[in-house]
Amino acid sequence: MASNFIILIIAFLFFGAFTIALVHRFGAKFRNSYILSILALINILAVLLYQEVVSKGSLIYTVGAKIPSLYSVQGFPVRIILTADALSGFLVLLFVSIASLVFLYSLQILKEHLSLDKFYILSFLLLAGILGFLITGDFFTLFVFYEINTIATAGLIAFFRNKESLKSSFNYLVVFAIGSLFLLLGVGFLYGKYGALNMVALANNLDFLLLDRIALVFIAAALLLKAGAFPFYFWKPQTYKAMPISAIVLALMSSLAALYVLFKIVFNIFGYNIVLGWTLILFSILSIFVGVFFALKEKSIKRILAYLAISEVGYVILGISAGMMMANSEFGFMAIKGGLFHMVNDVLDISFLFLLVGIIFYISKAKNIFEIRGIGHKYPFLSGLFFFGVLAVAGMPPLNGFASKIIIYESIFHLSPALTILGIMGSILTLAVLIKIFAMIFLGTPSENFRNYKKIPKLAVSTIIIFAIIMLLIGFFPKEFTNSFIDKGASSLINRQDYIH
Amino acid sequence: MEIIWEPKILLISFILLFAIAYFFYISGEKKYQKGTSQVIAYFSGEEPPEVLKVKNVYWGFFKDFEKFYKFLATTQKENPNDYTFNFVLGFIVLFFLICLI
Repeated sequence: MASNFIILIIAFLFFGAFTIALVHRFGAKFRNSYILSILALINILAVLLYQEVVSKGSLIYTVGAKIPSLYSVQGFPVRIILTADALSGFLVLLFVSIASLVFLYSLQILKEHLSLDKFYILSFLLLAGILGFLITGDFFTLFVFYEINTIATAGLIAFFRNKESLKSSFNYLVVFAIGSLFLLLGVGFLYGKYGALNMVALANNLDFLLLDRIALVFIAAALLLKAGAFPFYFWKPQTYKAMPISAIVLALMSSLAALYVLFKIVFNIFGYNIVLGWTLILFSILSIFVGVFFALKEKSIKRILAYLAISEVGYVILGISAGMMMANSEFGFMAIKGGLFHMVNDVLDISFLFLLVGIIFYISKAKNIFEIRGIGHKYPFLSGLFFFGVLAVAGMPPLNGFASKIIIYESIFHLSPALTILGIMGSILTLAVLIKIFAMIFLGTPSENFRNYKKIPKLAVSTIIIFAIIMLLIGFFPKEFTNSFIDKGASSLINRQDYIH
Repeated sequence: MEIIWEPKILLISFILLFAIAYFFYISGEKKYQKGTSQVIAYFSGEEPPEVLKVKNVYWGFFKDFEKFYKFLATTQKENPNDYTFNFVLGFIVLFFLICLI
């Protein structure tokens, strides 16, 4: 039974997605209860899966087979293989928990929207695509989940069905059609050479000659595109601006899941490589600076946060790829640990700010930042929460963003002090961006529309308070958090031999 | 090696700093009056501009980086042609770095 948890999570999400439209016919209350029941079930399964992988080690599940094997009974080397280790198990648990909070938030923030059932259908599909990324054990299944992820995201971008969202959705579909084609080509090169799609089988046989490197470039380009890191960051601002806020959080998780897959492939299948390591470090530094430079100049708050998301992804890549360069030292392990820790903090902090901005736009019905200036005079509690988020994203002590960034800075210093200096400069610029938008929204001259504002949505605010509590706890107890959740994940990521066996 | 930071040290530092600041505060000027010229910010003898807007806060920074920002704007046009061009360009850079070096 235990090994079935891994497939049940995906199966229930798909089942939920396809039945929501039917359940919607019985009324909004029944539909909401149905959605919450499925989420509760998936949360329980995610906890059980995590407990299983922590206590018994990696889990392998082959769809339609009693015993996991590389070949089908007919000898065909293509199977749907799902795997979970300490890191992917933890990320599944984290993403399912965050998605549940976001769905709760959406019940109130999007309740007036007539197409709420479609939002949940697409969101469930997107979540299935994200979790599929985390637990896939073969390249073809990876490609399938990449496609599910892309189609669901394109649907969510077009959710509001206005000119801007339809245009953004079309642009997204065009570039990701090319991205998935490149992923398929990369997978095709590997299959053509080795006759296998299973990641463990490939890890056993790979010789990293020119064709393998070409395959890696195709796969890495597709995954970096999904992650929205430099040089493939260009789609993020337009896309995030068009999406509903709740869907942006799912898109953030999708980006981080793509990064996880990229590093899993690099560490466990292709092995350490100096050129690749330095290339990723270069991209990470450029992601950090391109993100903050664009953000400084932007006026739309959603676009500013999108650019900061690009910048924060840069820190994750910086930590893990610098760790790859020092793989055999203790500092290398710390850098990887810092990068993975920052992955958690990134999704929490940026989501927190996006969700808070969603509440501000909900109560004010504003279309842009200028209509809500000075809102802090009327809602000091919201401005306090926003300032809290600002400090966390900018990596100020004692919040969680600082806890992970300090690990990255101190460990990459041993690779190159210049990297630490650049990282800190990026943090300072991030703070400059956030202080500017904080001052524009909360401290400016109060707008005259305050009388027409809606009441504060209590359920939505409660969900972001839960985010804040988690961020605060991680900030105050970083050692306990990393010892409990990150250490085992970092070990499972870097131990190629364990992965192969 | 232990490089995980310890927030408790920061809390103790805050308490110490607060105690020092409070000491200076209680030993300070007691004749302070609200609403007088004592509360007006000192601008190095210069008259401050009449309208101070937050969006102009980094004016000097943008002036210095004007050319760089013009270049950045050309890379972010947000239409399918440019998206495709950017993707292919990024792919070529990645290909060059990983396959040809």
